[in-house]
Amino acid sequence: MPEVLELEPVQMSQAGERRSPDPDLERLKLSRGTHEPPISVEIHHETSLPRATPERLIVGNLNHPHLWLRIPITVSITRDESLLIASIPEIDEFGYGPHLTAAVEDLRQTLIELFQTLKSEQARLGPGMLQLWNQLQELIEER
Amino acid sequence: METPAPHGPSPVVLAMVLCDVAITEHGTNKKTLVGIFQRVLASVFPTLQRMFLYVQMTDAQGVYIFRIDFVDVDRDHVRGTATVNPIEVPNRLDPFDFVFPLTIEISGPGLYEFRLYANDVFLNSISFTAQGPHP
Repeated sequence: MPEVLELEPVQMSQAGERRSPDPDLERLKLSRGTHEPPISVEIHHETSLPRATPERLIVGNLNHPHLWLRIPITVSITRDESLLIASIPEIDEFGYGPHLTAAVEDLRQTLIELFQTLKSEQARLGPGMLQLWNQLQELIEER
Repeated sequence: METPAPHGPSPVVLAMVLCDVAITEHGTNKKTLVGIFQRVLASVFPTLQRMFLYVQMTDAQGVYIFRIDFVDVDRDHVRGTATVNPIEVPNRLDPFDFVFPLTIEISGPGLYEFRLYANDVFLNSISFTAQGPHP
């Protein structure tokens, strides 16, 4: 029976560049050692495949050029009929989509748009929105 | 020597690409990606497909365990997991990249994903669609 996922030795290196490689960067390279292979591959059997949608997912970034998460955020994942909902209960924000990564991407966009909107309107925010703006600034930083 | 515990800021994924072949130029480490795709056509299922996953990241500094889950999205199953042993990234400002040569079994038509994690934190994903023969 063929394996579901077979991974060969990974090549990891500095991104392509024209100059000669710095010897110090050799530390980044991976090699498959005899006693300590750099990769372990787990093949899940057809009868016991784990679910791909967890109840919680830790998300590390917003995939935005200027907005970054200060620390990874824990996102709750719930299902509503055919849609998955990715939410941050602490700030009552959510995103949704047909599958996990679509819901997470929608949540990212929601956070980005909310941050930008509250930033541009911060002089006119009421107490509730001001509190949300402060919470968002604890989660997100602008670079 | 004992490897330090995983730690460090979440890397930012600059690119995540599936392709037929990834060539690394010896000396410069430049990558050439050939046959970038987002769809797999197969005449029969299950089918074994060989492909390369290219990932470029930045803003990493510390020790990382990278993990890739191969996911059957339509059936909501993780079909396989590949974990790279701890890697130390010394400089947050330098982009770095991976080339993963993969052989995967695609069980049937549908949507599939590779999900990338660093120290169990979700970073990004790349998906492709598997299709059967056209009628």
